[in-house]
Parts: sequence; structure tokens; C-alpha cells
Amino acid sequence: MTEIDERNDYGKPDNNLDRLIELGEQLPRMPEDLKARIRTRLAEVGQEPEKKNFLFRRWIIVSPLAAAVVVASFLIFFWPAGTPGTVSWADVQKKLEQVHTMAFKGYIEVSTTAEKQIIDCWKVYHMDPGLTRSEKYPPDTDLDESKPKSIFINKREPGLSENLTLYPNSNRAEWVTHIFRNNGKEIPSSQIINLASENWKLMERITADQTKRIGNRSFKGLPAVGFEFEAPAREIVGYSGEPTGQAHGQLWVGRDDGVPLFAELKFRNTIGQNVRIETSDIKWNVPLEEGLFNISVPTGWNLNRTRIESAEYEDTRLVSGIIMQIGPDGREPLVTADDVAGVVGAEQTTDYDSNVPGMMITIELKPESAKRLYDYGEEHPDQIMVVNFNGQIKVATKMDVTHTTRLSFDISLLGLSLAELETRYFTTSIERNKP
Amino acid sequence: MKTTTTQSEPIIDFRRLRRREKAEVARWFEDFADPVYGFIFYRVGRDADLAADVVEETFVTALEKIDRFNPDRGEMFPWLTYIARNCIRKALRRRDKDSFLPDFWETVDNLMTRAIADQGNIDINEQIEETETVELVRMTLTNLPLRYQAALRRHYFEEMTLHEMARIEGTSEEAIKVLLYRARQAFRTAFETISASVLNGDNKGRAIP
Repeated sequence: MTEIDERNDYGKPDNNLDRLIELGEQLPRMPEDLKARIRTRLAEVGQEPEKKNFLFRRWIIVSPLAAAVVVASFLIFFWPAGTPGTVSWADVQKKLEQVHTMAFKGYIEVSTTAEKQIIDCWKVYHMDPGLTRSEKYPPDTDLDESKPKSIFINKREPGLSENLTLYPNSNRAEWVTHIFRNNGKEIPSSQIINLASENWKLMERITADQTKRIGNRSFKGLPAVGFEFEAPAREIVGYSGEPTGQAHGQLWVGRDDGVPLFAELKFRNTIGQNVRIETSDIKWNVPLEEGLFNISVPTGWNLNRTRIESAEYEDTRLVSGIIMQIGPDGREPLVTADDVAGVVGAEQTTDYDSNVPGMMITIELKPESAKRLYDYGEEHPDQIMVVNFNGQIKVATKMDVTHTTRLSFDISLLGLSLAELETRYFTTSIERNKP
Repeated sequence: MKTTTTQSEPIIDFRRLRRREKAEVARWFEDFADPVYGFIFYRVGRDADLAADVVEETFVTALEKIDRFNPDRGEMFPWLTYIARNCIRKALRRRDKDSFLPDFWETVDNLMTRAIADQGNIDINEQIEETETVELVRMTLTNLPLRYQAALRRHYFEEMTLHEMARIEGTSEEAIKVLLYRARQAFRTAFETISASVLNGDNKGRAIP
């Protein structure tokens, strides 16, 4: 306490100040229509995967690219062996091996016992090698008549992905340059180059007893035959920890040429919602204009640029002597450096236009250590787990729902680049041959 | 539940917010909607349309980056205003490359930081037009830490007693007295700083932004 007595001076007469403050009674409040608009936006964002954090990205459901992958995978995986009609399986297989472009419309609907809503709908275009365009539309609108809410254009090559998202309604653009590094695999697991063709490899997993014919119908005048199937959802939607239990699907293909015309996949996600993915207007090997995939921002638009550098490690550990303590905030640590099996990933995010840099690392814990931490978290959901990293920073962390032995946390406060971080704290020998 | 530890910041379940649970996101937005709007409104020159765009971008950005918010490092409102400043700067640059507002507010922020750190006083310049004073006061209030905003609002506008305020905050009346004292001091410093900035030409001779 200074010479001023804070407790007793609070009511010290200061009429001028009192009168002054009272002038400010009518502070500006957010208009209700704006609140409603932002609530809607936040609901959309809440459905999206966590940005710029590939290790914990929930692939399915919302990411346009991910949904495209999922739908492609789904179509491939469940291509019916022994398709009835005039098309033989051999014909189909030969055709699919030659696919290089794909376009379709996609809808994702989520329902609970209380409500059902379409949360996303897209037009998606793939052109191999490495080009994708996904136009996202407002739910419940005609995709051919409406203006897209956003347009996502993605160019991929080994080790590099350029991602441009355009928001026509607000003349805003986000351009993310994502650099992938690893010290093991040729292409990091988080990067898929050729979406139109890569997933056809899953055909090897198709077996005839997974399908059942469900009849005939037509799609836009084209006669089709339908099949239904059931399989583990996690296996079908392979890039996500989101689906659980069994998935039920339908696939309708052209009776005469075997080209997919319509597909539907239903499963339950980890939070108990019923998810339905519908894919229609599927087009195979149609000519697509290269202009669809131009990474360019219209003049005058507001552009936000971000650079992400992701690294996936193999056989990488923390250097000896590092202090690592993980546990509930304010209590004894449950896990120390001895419990860390290795470092599996790190990601540096640099926003060109702001001062909010980010550095996340992900460690792999020994199974028994992870269980100890996980069990404690389950028993004490109100407590936040905190990581003390080398006595330098103390940050909150979370368990990865899809990899329960993994833990990620933000060490941006250290102010190090990814390269510096690796040099000082990891044993990795990752190659740095990209900018 | 892990909550903010500082008085008057709304209670947030960060665990649920990080999971982007719908109810918690909605509650978080409702709690901070008005203070963030007020903060932005004056900083974009009281342009309601521009404020709306910036507020939306601020909340969307904040939710996207919510994993980076660490309650141990500070409160939610300052973090939101930090993001808002970036959004404001970009929005103003987009609308008018020559806008003086970013420089003006940067000057005000720097002066306020120094003034509060030094506990120094800048004389209130009585040349301020009376009609402008109301706006200056509101502008000042929206730039105070949320706990001070809440304390002053309850004391002056809602005319709560110390006992009522203490009950809401879950603390003692003595603690509320200290809070009110500090809130008034912070207001005085901020008001003097903003007023001085206006009158000393930090806005390049223009009217109150």
C-alpha cells in the first residue's frame, strides 16, 4: 500500500470525477442483428477443425479438402465387386485406374434427437496432380444458383501445399503456405498429393460380401443400380477419429457404364450426433479448366497470409537433461521427462500480418504414463493440465482424442523457430531442403 | 472448473471452450460481445458498419486461435482486444490507407501504458468541448480492463452497494473498495491520456475519432 489508502479512499469526494464517469452511462452495445450474424459464424467455426494444427485436425465433417478425401475414399472403398448390369468389375477397375479428374457436390448433415441440420455443402473439383477446388455454400441452398460463401483452392506438391480461401461476401482472402518436413517418410502422412487417384488404391480392400444390391432408380434420367453396405466407420472414414461404430452406406452407379452417380454414408460421431454425407452429381475424368485452380487474390481484397511449417518425426526424442513436468495446475506433476517416449511432431505458424506467432509441439508418452494422465483428467474434468517445459515456460495442454498417448502444447513463448527448437531440444536429423 | 481468476471477467470453462462446445462458445460470445464491440466502435471512428465487420472478424479469429489463449498469462478481454487491434488495423488500412486512426490509437495505447506504469498524471484539459466529453468518457470506459469497467458500471450506473458488488464478485467489501479505487484511478489516467492525445494533435487536428 502506498501513501494512499486504497480501501478508505475509494469514496473520497471527487465530484468532478464522479460526474465525469456518470456521463458515460450509455456505452455502445452490440446490435442484436450483428449478434445473430456472429453467432452463426461462430457456430460454423466451432464445427471446423482446429486451424493450423495438423496433428489434431479432425479431418472429416467440415474441411472441404478433408470431405473431398473422405468422399473419394468412401466411393473407392465400397465400389461393389460384381456390379450387376452390363458393367463388369474388371471394366470398372480399369476405368478407375485411369481417373485423373473428379467433380461432385457434397452435403453433410448432422442430427441429434432434437434437431437436424445441413452443416456444409460443397462443389468439389480434383485434378491430378495436386489440384483441388472446393466451393462452400450456405446450407439448404441450390448450389447451381447460389454464390459460394467461400472458395478453397489447394495446390500440392511433395513438401509444399498452397491453400487459398476466398470469401466473396467480404472480399477477404486467407492464403496459407504449408511446408511439410519429416525425417522418415517420402511424403508426410498429413499430405496427400493426388486426391483424385491416390485413394483408388483402397480398392484392394473391397470384397463382394460387403455389398448388397438394393434396386434400380434413375438419377437425372440416367438409369442406376444401387448397393448398400455396412462396415466399421473408423475404417471407412480413415482420416479421422471422429466416426464410431458401424457406418451404413449406399452407392448408386450407372447401370450401363458403372460410373458413380450418387452416394450416401451414415455414421455416428464421437459426440453422439448422427452424420450423413451425401455425394451427388459425380463426374469422372471430365475436362476441368486450369483457371479453377489459380492461386490468385482479386485486386483490392484484404489478404491475410500465413506460413505453416510442420514437421513429423521418427525416432526423435527430447535431448537429455530437459525438464518436463506435466500435471494438474498447482499440483505435483503426474508425468516427467522420463515418461516421454519421443517427439512426434511440431508446427510453427507465422502470420504475416499480425503479431500472433505460434509454435506447437506434440510428444508421445509411454502408454502407462499417458493412461495415468488420461485417467486423472477423466476423474477431474475441471482441472487443466499444465506443462512445465524445461523450467522456462508453463502452459496448458490437452490430450489428443484420437491418439491418447499424445500430448500437444504451445511453446510460442520461447520465441524460437522450428529449426532452432529442433537444434536445441530434439534429437531429430530432419532434412531441410525446402524454403 | 478452471475459471478466470481476476474479478469481473466472466467465468469461462476453458476446457469446454477449447473443445468449441456450442453452449460454451455461445456463452463466451454473449459475455464479451458488448465490451469488445465498445472497444472496437471507437477505434474505427464510430463507423457502425466497419465496427460490425471488425467485431465479427475478431471473434472468429479468437475462436480459431482459442488454443493459444492461456489463462495463466492473462485475462480474456485483453487477449480479445489484442486480436481486435490487428483486425482494426487491417480494416482501416483496407478502407483508407491514409487513416490516422491506427497511429492515433497506437499513441494513446503507448501513453496509457506509460502513464499507468508511472502512475503519472496528465492534466485534464478544460478546453475540451462539453459535447465531446461524453464521447471521450465512453471511449475511455471501453478501453479500461473489463474488471474496472464492471466495477464502475455497477457503482455509478447500476448504483449497487458495496455489499451487493462483493456478493456478485464473491469477495469482501474491503476488496471491492480497493477495486473501485483502482478503477477510478485507471479511468482518470485513461481519460486524461485520451483527452490529451486529442488536444495535443495526435489525431492530426481532426475532431475526436
